[in-house]
Amino acid sequence: MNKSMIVISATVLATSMGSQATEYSRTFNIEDMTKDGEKYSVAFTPEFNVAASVIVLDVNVEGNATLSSRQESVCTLWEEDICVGPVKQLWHSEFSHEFKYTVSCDDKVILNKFADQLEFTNEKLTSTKSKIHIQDAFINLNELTCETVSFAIETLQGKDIEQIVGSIKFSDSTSK
Amino acid sequence: MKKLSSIVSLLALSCGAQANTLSVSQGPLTLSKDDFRPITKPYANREAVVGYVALVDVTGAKPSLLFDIAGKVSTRWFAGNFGLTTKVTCNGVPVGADASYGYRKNRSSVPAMPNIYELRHDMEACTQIRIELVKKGSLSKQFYTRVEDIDFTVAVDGLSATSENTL
Repeated sequence: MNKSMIVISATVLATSMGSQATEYSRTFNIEDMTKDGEKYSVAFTPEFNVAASVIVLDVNVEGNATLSSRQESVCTLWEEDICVGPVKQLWHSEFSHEFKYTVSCDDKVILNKFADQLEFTNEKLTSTKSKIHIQDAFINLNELTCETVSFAIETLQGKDIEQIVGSIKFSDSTSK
Repeated sequence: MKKLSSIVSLLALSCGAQANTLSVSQGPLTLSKDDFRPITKPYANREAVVGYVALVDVTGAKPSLLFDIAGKVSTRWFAGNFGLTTKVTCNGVPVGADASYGYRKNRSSVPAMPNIYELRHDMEACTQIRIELVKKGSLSKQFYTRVEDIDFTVAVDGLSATSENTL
């Protein structure tokens, strides 16, 4: 084996190791998460530093929304901010489950977003069951190096979360 | 002649101040910030704009209506992180609601993009849509969330079939 072959082999090995070190993917569910009030969080400590700029999040959340479904007295015609029409009793259903979710790299929050399921209708709603699918991809302009990555989700408006199943991937490429 | 042109100008002005009118199944209507009236509340000896309301007259309603309402609400750069609740009713009947968020991303502001796409029945008496935007958060947060632009498109399509009919 001559000197140039040794150099080429070492370069391939470094690239391959580098490629492994720039992608980190984990799946999780509600049993893996810590509950603090209405907030669920999960932290991962990889055996290597995660250096990544692309974060892909895919989470299914099920729970119970707040629901108000009743007859309400409402104005039926407006002129600017003055009610000029008859006030009528109409059916109003309002269903609301709103979340805030974050992804953190060590102590730094790098993704801070919201998700919701809202209904505002004249139909009579009875179920409070909510189902939300979060799909998010975020690209940092500055490369991140994390020892710990974490995901947290909390209910802002609604009753509770019953199930969380998701995955998080840190990568240095937008290609699959 | 001078008198006539003054009357024409007055008429034009009065037409501009009138509520927007949307005909069912006749394509979308666009609304800008000037079409929205601010909702204010007193805050620290000043008036805080906590939201906006627009009224749209509707003609040709059918029992079942498909509402397609999409908007873009942007704020001054220093107020880029904000939340907005949009609620739409027609003559007091609930049509739909949306929670949307504007945020700062990579040193630029991404506007809130409310979107309501709902099929509603028993809407034959729909003659006036009311679009209400309310800034999320405390009164102080609402005060500092300075809205720069509002753009909405509003379309309503009538369906001949109702929920009682077979598909």
